[in-house]
Amino acid sequence: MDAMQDDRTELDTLAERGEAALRDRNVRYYLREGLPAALASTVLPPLLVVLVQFAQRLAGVAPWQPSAWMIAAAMLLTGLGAALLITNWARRLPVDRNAALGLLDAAAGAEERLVTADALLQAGAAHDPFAAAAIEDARWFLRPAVDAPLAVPANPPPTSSLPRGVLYALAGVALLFGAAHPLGLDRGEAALADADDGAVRIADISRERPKDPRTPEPIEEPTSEPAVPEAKPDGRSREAKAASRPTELPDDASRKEGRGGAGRSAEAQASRGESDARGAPSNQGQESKKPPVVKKPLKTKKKRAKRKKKPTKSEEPKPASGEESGSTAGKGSSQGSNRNPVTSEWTSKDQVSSDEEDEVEDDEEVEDEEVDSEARGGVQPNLRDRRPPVSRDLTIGFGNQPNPNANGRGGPSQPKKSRGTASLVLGVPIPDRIKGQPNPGKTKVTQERVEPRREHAPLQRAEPRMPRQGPAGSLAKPELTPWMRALLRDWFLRMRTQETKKR
Amino acid sequence: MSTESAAARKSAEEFKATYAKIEAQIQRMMVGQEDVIEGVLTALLAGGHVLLEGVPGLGKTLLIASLGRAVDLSFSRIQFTPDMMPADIIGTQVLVEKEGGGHEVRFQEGPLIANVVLADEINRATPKTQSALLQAMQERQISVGRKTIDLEEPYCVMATQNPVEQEGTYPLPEAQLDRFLFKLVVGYPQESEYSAILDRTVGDDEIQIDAVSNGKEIMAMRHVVRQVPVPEHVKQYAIQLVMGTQPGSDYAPGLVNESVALGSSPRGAQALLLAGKVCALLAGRFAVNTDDVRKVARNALRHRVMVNFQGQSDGVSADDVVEAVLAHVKPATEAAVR
Repeated sequence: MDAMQDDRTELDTLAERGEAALRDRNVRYYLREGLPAALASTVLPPLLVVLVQFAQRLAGVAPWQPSAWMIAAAMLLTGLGAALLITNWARRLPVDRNAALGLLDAAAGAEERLVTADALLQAGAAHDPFAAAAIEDARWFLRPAVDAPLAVPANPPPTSSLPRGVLYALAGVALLFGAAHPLGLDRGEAALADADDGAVRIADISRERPKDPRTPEPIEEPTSEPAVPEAKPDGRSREAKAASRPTELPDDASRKEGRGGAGRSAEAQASRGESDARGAPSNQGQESKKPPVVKKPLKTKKKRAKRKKKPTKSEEPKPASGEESGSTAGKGSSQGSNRNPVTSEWTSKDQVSSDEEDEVEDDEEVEDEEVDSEARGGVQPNLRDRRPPVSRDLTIGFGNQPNPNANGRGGPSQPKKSRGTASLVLGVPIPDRIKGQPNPGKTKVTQERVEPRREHAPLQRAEPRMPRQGPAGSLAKPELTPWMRALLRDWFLRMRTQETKKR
Repeated sequence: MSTESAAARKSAEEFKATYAKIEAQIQRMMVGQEDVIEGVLTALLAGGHVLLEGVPGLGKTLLIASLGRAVDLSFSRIQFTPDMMPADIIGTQVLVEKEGGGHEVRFQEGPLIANVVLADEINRATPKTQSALLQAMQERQISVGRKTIDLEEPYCVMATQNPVEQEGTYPLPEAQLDRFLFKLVVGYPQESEYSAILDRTVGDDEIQIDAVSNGKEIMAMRHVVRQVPVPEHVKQYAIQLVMGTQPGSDYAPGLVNESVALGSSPRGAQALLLAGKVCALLAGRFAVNTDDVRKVARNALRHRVMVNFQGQSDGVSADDVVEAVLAHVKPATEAAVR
């Protein structure tokens, strides 16, 4: 009993040694892997300063300007903090005891004897003869395992890379933010220098714009109020703003349509309801008359795929300025439709018909079936998402209408298709040959739902069968010998005599 | 050394000694094919049945016949043909004369009632006849009419099949394949082995095989095998390997999800551990480790994996699937160290 206790203690010591080695390996590995992210995280303090300055400018407050050494210290602290975070996280990663002892097993050449002895001791199977022998067997390797140098692999198994991903994401966001708002420290300093009596001249940003020599120089008038709404630096050029501004319709088009859309063609009016439902509301802030249509929760995959491929009307690229929607101009329809009222009749028809086709195809397949077939190849039922079996109704159909539920399948698994009565329903065996296999391979049976068809054939009329009228032709007539003739004559005479007597 | 462990050590040593004697007798007749011989003996000692697959002329039948002689067990051979009926292998009721006069119906035993049954070219028989083996293989008994006959232990069916001549053959149903502990693939001998094969077969000398063991000893060895403990992490590894062959499971690699129609049943895990116990004893250990399981995984799982149509058209074999599973599923001792 004491020996077993000693074994357990020694195994615990060995396990701790292995776990410590694996933890050190984890720390080294994740620190090495996470170093770029830690360095990238040093971008955060300067970015924070820029953001603060930006917010202060928006609020009309004099921007806070930290000194360079302060920013450098913050960057250093951020990098060190990220490294410490990674180290702490890696050190706390769980290390399996079996893995730790397996490491020592490999080092001592024990062929898992240490892990086995540990498992048997923990299971309390020490009284079993073979378990006791296995534990004794492991005793020979305890001492070599203590002294053996551990060959810890450099890379741990793939685990969650959350901290590294988070750091990269943070750094990425910071860089993106910085790129989207090109306000650097130097510019902040310039703005600070230009600031006078608390008034912020954000109009300085427009200095970068190419100046038009024909336009006169704007006269700068110092004002006590910040010109926030007009001079809002949104990073867009004047040309881009002009391009994004909705183009006004020609006068005749707006007149033709009128306020209620009376000037539209019939097709355009017919398609208006659909476009009202799906189209983006007008950017003029006008309300849509129709209530918003709530999407169905269950959509087919095909429909989603189509939506992914084909942009919705609100996502469609805006046409050129000459083809701009009349409704978006704010002078025509108040329905919120972005469809062009002056487009041709053909265009409107196409748009309507394509929507209807979408709806028709939506009802054909349900997404769940496709998801299941993708997950397991339509073969073996997965126990976790077991569903009630598909209908076993084998009815072929009602008249010309096929029964939609009558697929005869006992469940989603493929091999069951060829069993039972379903296999008798008009199956067409198609032998398939597998390349490189001498036999024909498995027989694939394709079932089709067809109705029995009537075959046309010439009618046969029933008529009475009469005795033969014509000559029978030449018949063989063997010649009888005299004694046979006498016998036949006697037999007939005797028969006639008997009949006469009966009468 | 405790008394319990001393008894275990003695049993294990006797096990190894008897195994070595049987193996030596078989190797007097067989040249090379050490893996196949080891597989057949492992299956016999683990209490399972074996399916041998290989092209003609590689000594499959000779191996099993040699085993039957080396172990001194009742041995019968059934040559399966398409016109064979279940009664031909199970036995049938026949009308016999009594000694004192009169007649009576008596059961005439078929060749299935023996200790070692060689089912030669088993895939040539119809599924009806193949199915007659199911009860014998699983429950070690056969039913004839109202009568149930217990088969004498040790009972082992060793079947052979030829993978080439597939025309006119009937592939074994999955239910029967699953009952085989191992499917062993017999390959061509090495170049160095041909000379010994020719020397032994074309000369005038007749090789004698001595019976070095018997049914009682085999049963004792089976009992020893069952006593070998399986640590928890090895058990988990066997379970994960079996689940790895099942499409859609958490342990299945991509190849399994794409190319496998049917994975292994729990019998696969039983086979892994039972055969692993034999391997552990032969390696001089007293408990199974993951290497033992890995060593027998190919033989124990290849016939339990059914490749689907797509996999067959892509040239994926069951061995490829098992290899992919072995590469994907790692034991707990390696999982964190990899």
